[in-house]
Amino acid sequence: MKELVIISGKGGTGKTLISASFISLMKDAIGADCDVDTPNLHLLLKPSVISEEKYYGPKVALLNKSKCTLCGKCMEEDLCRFHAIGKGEFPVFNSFYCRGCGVCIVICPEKAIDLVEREAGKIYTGKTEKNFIVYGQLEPAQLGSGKMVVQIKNKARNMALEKGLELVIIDSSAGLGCTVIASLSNCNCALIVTEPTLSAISDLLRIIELTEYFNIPSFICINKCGINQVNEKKIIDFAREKEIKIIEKIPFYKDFAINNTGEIPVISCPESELSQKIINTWKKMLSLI
Amino acid sequence: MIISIASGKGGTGKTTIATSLALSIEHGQFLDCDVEEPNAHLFLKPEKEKVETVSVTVPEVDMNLCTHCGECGKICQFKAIVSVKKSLLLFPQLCHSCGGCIKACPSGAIKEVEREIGIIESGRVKDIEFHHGILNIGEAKSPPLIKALKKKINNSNTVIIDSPPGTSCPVITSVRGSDYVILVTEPTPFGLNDLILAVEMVKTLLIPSGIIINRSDIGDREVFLYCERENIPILMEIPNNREVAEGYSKGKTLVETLPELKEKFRELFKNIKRS
Ligand code: SF4
Ligand code: SF4
Ligand code: SF4
Ligand code: SF4
Repeated sequence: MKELVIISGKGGTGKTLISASFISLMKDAIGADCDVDTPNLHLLLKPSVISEEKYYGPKVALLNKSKCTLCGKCMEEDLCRFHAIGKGEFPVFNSFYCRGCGVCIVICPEKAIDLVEREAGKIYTGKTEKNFIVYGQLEPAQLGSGKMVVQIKNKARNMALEKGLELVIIDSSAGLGCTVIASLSNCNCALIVTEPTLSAISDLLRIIELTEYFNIPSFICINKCGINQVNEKKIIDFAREKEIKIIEKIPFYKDFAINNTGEIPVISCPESELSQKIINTWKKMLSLI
Repeated sequence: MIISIASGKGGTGKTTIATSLALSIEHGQFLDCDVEEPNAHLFLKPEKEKVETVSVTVPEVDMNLCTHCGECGKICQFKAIVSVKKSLLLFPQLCHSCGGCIKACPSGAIKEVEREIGIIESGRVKDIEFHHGILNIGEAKSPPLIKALKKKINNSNTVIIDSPPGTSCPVITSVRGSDYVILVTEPTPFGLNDLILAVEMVKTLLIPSGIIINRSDIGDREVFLYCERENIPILMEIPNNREVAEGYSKGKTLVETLPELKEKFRELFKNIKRS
């Protein structure tokens, strides 16, 4: 079983559309949406949900008032490095700031503080005509997106193993911090979707450093070609220098951008030029994994 | 007054709006808090004046003092320090700098040392004071760097914060403490889906917000209907424009391509200030 991750660094380059297209071109693949803040893959693939489970984020401290003797130890300056414990009649625990480090629990002589699980979202398994997708929704303003990504990937991986499927396609979030690192880890290869804008190039350079750091072979697909030839050339030169293969250049389709109503072109209009380009990208990608 | 520019979805035009707003107000501070992928400098082109490194504290163990009691590993909730038989393993990247292991060690074998996680670069664009953070590659946690960056805020200034995308830790760390959040979206099914999540986030943080609809003439009307239903003010609509897109690809800001928008941004700023 292989894992392919689609990343970009910059948001809005077309990552999710590429992921959704690849998944719909497969039969018997598993898709994993690892953008847990703002998952979008299911909006394109429109799966029917076959199971749903609660997601528990990092634990948080909770006070048991009946045990607290107001000794004040947990409220001492700098005890909680995250400033989650305020002073009141009783100590006040702010669950938005608490990182669940457990320091207050160890310091409390009365064992009046516990670390408790906190529900922070849901993880769904959905079925499309030919495939399965696993995705999650972290509640807005909650912590623990990296942990959720790990759980989604594990779930997708286990399903693939159980069903004897060949491939997991992972749609990562933008950026290159915790969720992207979690999406990348242990993948067999990465497809970087970029576009010829200065911002995207700046992000591309950083995301390639990241894939190198984790030793993951990567490939590039340039989307929205035609909006800036100079930048296109910059990407091509840079890829050559880094010895990274550019597997496809997809032109900028104005009509598509304007009529972006949540359809997947390889399904809704497979004959179009855009669809042909994406299908090509997919074929090349398959041969490279 | 601190105004943050945010959006659930990436690539909607946060940086475009943040940089154009700053160039229209022409004073105050600009903080690019998207430390994973900072891009505002490509548009504002500040003159770099200063670079500082940002560090977090992590434990260091003096093995001559360690008795292998295992207490440090017991308290650490993040598996950043693990004691196995006669050796101690440290995973500094997992450490949350909570200081628990130091407090737990009965032999005083642990002290805190600094570990660099990124840098802050500062500079100037005309009368605007510019700061951005750059997270080191392979570093998972951006919030400590964002917090260090926000220490640059001088409350008597107008402060524009370009925040990272999403709705969790990095964004919350960026927008917390703001007086107003401008959410940037586009009128597509994805834009709407992510806007709803971003609105929920700012509501949880109890910060007033308004919406700017970018590429307002593409897609459908759902975003407009949603704003009307939820009573969220639409601050500005920016139509799709080839010239703007081409300018953007070269690092040209919106108000440089369409200078007539400057007045609109100033008006928008005045309205936010009044509200
Ligand atoms: S568990 Fe850690 S972060 Fe949470 S309140 Fe206690 S000391 Fe603070
Ligand atoms: S340390 Fe324990 S007993 Fe003391 S004030 Fe805190 S919770 Fe109460
Ligand atoms: S400082 Fe906290 S997170 Fe870091 S190793 Fe020690 S106990 Fe673990
Ligand atoms: S708590 Fe101190 S003495 Fe005990 S294993 Fe850890 S470092 Fe060694």
